[in-house]
Amino acid sequence: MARDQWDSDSGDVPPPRDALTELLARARRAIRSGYGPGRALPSPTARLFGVDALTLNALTHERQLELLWADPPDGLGPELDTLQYTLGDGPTLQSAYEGRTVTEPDLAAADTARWPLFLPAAAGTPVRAVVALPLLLGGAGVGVLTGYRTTPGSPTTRQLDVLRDLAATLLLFLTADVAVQANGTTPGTGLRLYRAEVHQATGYLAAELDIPLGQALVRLRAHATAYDRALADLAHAFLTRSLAADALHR
Amino acid sequence: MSAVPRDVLVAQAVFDLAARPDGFDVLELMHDLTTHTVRLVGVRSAGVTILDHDGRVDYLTASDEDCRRLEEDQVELDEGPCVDSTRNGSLLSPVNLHRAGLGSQRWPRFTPRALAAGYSSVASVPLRVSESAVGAVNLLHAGPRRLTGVDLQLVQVLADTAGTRLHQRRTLIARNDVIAQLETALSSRIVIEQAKGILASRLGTDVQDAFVRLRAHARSRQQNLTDLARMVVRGQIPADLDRTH
Repeated sequence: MARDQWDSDSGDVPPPRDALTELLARARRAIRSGYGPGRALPSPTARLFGVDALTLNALTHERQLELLWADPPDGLGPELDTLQYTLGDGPTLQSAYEGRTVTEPDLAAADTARWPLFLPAAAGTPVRAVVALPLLLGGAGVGVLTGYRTTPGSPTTRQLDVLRDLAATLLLFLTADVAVQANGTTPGTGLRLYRAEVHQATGYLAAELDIPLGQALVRLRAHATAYDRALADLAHAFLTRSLAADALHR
Repeated sequence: MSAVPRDVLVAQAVFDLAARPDGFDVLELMHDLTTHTVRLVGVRSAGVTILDHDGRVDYLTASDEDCRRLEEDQVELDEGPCVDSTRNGSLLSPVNLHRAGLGSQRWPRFTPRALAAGYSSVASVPLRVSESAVGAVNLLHAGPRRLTGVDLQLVQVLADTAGTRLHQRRTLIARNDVIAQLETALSSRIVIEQAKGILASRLGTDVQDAFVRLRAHARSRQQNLTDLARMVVRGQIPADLDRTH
C-alpha cells in the first residue's frame, strides 16, 4: 500500500532516486552557502519523499525540541508538532530521546499505551501513519525529521533510504555554526563542528556530567557562544582539564 | 638472498591489510594502514584523506592526534600537501618544510603549523581503488633521516593492498560503491571521536591513550572498531575498558 502511494505520488517506475539525489545535492550546496531549509528545499518537498508533511526539530539546550522547518509550512506538520510539544508525548519526542527511528504504520490501530496522550489527540486529525528519524552526529542526537501521512502503511525500504538521505542533508543545517553566520564573516559551513576535538569533548563531557551526548554537544556550543570562545578551543580546554567539566553547568 | 626479520614484518603488514573478514570496518582498515606505515617507514605520523561526494577534501583517519589536527587545519585552510595530493591523485615526493624551503612557498599557512608541531617534511602516495585515486596516504616526518623513493614505494604497496581490499568489499555489497563506503566511514569517525572522549573521562587518560585502549580491545577480541565505539557511546562499556567497574 505504501508502495502504491509512493508510485502514484512520484510518477512512473523506476523511482526518481537520481532526481532526489540531485535535489539533495543542490540542497547541500545551498545549506553550505548559508541558506536555511526553506530556501534549500523549496516547497513542496514532502510529497517527493512519499509523505504528506515533514517537520524538522532541533534539540535545544533546555532539552526541548524546537520546530525549525515544516513542509508544507502550515497545516498537518506544524499542527501535529504543536500537539506533541503541548502534550509532551509522541513519536518525534520518542525518537529524540531514544536516538532511533520510530515508525507507526497505522496510528488508528496502535496501542494507546504507546503514546497515551498523543494518540487520542491525533485521532482528531487526518494523520494515519508516522515516521520519525533522529538526526545523529555520531551518537549525539541533535534533532528529528518527522514524516506524516494521511494514509496508513509502513514506509518502504527505499522510502526510508531517501528520508535518511534527507535527514543527513538537514543535519548539515543543524550543525552549521549559527554563531559564525551571525558575524556575517563566513557562511555557516559547520566547519567548527568538523573538528574532532569537539566530538571528543562531547563524549568527555557527557561522561563527566552523566548527560546524553546530544545535550553535551548542545551545551558545549551554547557555552562557546555565551562566552564568545572558539568551539574547538573550548573543547580543547575541557579535554586537557584546564577547564573543569562542571563549568558547563554555569 | 635470505630473508631478514624486517621482510617478515612487511609481509605481515600486507597480510594484515589484505586478510579482512567480509563486512570489515573501512575506518579500521584505513587506521591500520596508517599504523603500519608509521611502523615500517619510520615516519612520525601518517594519515588518510579522501574526496567526498561533493569533491571536498576530508580527512578519514590519522595515526595520532597531532597528525589529525594538522589534517583538519589543512581542510580548514584549504591548503597543504594532503589537500594537494588528494585533489591531484598523484604521488607527492618528499618536501622539506624548513622556512626558506619549498614548503613555505607552496603552503604559506600550513607550513608554520607543521613546523610548530615538530614536523620537518611531508610526502604522499595516492590511495587507489582499481586504478583510480580516491584519496591520499600522507606522511608527516620528523627527524634527520630523509624519506626516500623506496620508502614511498613501500607505502604505495601498503596503500594498494588496502585499496584492493576496499574494491573487493564493493563487489560483495552490490549497491554501495567505494565512495559511499568512505562516506560512511566519515560519519563513523565522529562516533569514534566521541568514544575516545568518553573513555578519556572514564579512564582518566588523554584521548590518545583512550584510543590505544579502544583499538587494542577491538583487536584482541576481533571486534569491529566502529561497532565497539558505538557500544561505548550507547553507554555499554566493556568492563575492562572501564576503570569504574
